[in-house]
Amino acid sequence: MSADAAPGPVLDAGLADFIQHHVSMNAAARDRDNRPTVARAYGCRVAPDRRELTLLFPAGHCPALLACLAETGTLAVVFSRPSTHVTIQLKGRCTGSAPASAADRAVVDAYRISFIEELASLGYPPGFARAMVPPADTEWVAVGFAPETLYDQTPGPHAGRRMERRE
Amino acid sequence: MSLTLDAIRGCLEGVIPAVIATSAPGGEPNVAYLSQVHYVDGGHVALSFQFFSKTRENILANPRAVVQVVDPDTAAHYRLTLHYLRTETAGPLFEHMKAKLAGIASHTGMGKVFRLLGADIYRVESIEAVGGGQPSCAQPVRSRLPSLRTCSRELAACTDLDGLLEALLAGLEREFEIRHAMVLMADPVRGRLYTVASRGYPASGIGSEIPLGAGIIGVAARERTPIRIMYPAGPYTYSRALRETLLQQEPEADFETEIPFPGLPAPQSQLAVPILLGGAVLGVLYVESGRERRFSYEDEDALATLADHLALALRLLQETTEEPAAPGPAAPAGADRRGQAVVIRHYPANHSVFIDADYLIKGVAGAIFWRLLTHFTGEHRTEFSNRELRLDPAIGLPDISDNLEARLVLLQKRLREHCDFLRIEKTGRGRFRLRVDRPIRLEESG
Repeated sequence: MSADAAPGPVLDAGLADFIQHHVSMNAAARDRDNRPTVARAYGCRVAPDRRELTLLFPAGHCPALLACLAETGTLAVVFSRPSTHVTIQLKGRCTGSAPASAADRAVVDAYRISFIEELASLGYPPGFARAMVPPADTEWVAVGFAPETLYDQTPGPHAGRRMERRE
Repeated sequence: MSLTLDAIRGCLEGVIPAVIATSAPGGEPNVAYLSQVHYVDGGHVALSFQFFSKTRENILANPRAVVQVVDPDTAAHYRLTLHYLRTETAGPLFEHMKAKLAGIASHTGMGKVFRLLGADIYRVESIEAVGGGQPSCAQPVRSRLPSLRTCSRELAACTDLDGLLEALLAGLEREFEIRHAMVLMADPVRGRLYTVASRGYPASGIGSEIPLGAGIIGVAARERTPIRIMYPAGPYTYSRALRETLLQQEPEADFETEIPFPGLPAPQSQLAVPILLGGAVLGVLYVESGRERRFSYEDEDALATLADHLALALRLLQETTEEPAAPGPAAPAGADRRGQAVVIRHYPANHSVFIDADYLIKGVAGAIFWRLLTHFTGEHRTEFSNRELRLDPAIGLPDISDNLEARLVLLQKRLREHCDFLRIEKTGRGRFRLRVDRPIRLEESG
C-alpha cells in the first residue's frame, strides 16, 4: 500500500450496499485487559465517501461494548447474509457514539423490514423474525466506525482471507 | 438467581448461528460465526472447530472469548463469557458433535464445507441475558417427567425380555408420541448390533444388523454416548451408511442373509441412546422422525434415563434364577408327521439357518436354533432351559453378558414372522418349548 496518497475506502460500492440490509450484523470490541465482548447491531449507514459507517445498537444491549470502545477504540464487525452465507468482517476504529438521531432510527426501521423479510424467506415463523429485531420504541445508540481492513468470511476455503481494496 | 447453562440449553441446538468474539494478543478484536455451541455439562460448552481461523489463532494465544447465542423459539439473546481449556479430536463428545454438525451442515446447505476438526472445550464463566426476543413466540413445552415416570413404572412391572421391550416401545409412542423406535442389542464378539424390537415400520426388521461404528446407532454404541441430530444428516442415514460400511468391512458380505434395516429412508431427526451397564454397551435405543427438530434436550434426557432403567431390567431378568419346569402337557411336537419333510439347512461357518431356501437367522441365535433342532430330531426333546443353553459348548456363548434372552427373543420373533410351523414358546421362567408342527429334515452344509 502506498503511503503517499490517501488510500481509497475499504468498501467498494457493492459491499457498501451489501452491509446495509438483509444481513446479520455483530460487533466485537475488547477492554484494556484484552477481554472481548460482542453485541448485535440492527442497522448500518454508510457515509457517502464510504470511509465511515454508523452502526445502531439498542442502548440496553451494549454497555459492555461501549465501555470497551471507550477504553480501546478498536472494533470488528461481521456482516452475514443468512440466505447466501456471504460474510465479510471489517476491522477498524470507533469514531464515537451518541444517542440515535431521527435519521438513525429511520435506518433501523428500514433494516428491520429487510431482515424480517430475509428470515421469512428462509422459513422462520413471522413471529420469530419480528422478535429478532427490537421494537421501534427502543432507545438506540449510534456508533461511528472507520473500517481499515476487510476480510472474506464466507464459509469455505477462502474464509478469513484479507480482501484488497476493489477500486 | 443467576442464569444457568441448563436454563438456556435450547439456544445450543445450532438452529440460529452463534457468534464468537475473541481478541489477538496485540489487542485486535475478531468476530465470527460459529456452527455449533454444544452443551457439555452445566459448566462447559464445546465449540466446533472446522477451519484454521483467526478465532482459533486468538483463543490459543488469549483463551478468553464471548459467545452470543439466540433462543430459537423466543429470539432472546444471551452472552456467554468463556475460557478456552482444550481441544478434543476423538471420543464421545467429538463424535456427537460431528454427527450433529452433519445435520446442521445439511440444514444450512453447507454439507461439503463443514467438517469437524476438533471440539474446543470451554469453561463457562458467566451468562448474561442480553435482552430482545418475545416470550410469546415460544411453544409451551410439556414436561417430560410425568411421561418418564409412567414409562419407568411400566418397565419395572415387566417379567420377561420380550414384554420389557414391547412395554418400552409402546410407552414411547403413547407417552412421548415417538412413533418410530427400535431396540438393538450388542453382539460384542462380532462387533454388531442386531434389532430385537421395533415399532412403527412396515417391516419389523427384527434380526437386521448394524456394524459397530456405522451411522448414528453404530457410533452411539461405539462411543457410548447419546447422539441427537436435528436435521437430515446424509452420512448418518442408514440407507447409505449401512451398505457402504458393510461393503468396506466385508467386501464379500453375504447380502442374501442381510435382513433389511427397518428405519425410515430419510429421517429428518434422529436420536440414538446407548444402553449401558457397568461400562459395557448392552445395546442402543433408537428413535427417529419425519419432522425436523423433533427431539429436544429434554427428550434426550428422558430416553437416556429410560435406557439406564432398561439396562438394569435386562440384567435383572437375565440373572433371575430359573424355575423348575412345570410338568407340561405331553409334547405336541411332531404331532403331524404326515406329508413331505421340510428341509432345514445349517451353514456352520456363520451359523446361518435356511428353511427350504429361505433365510431365517444366523450367528448365535442361529447356533441356538440348530442346537434345539438337533436335540429335537435326535432325542425327540422339546423342553429346554436357558441354563443348559448357556452352558452348552456347541453354542459357544461368550461368558460375559451373553444376552441369551435377547437371542431367544430374536429367534422367537423371526420364527413368528417367517415360519408357520416352528415356534418357541415360554413355559416358565428361564424355560421354553420348541413346537414343531410339520416333519422336518436337517441338513448340514459346508
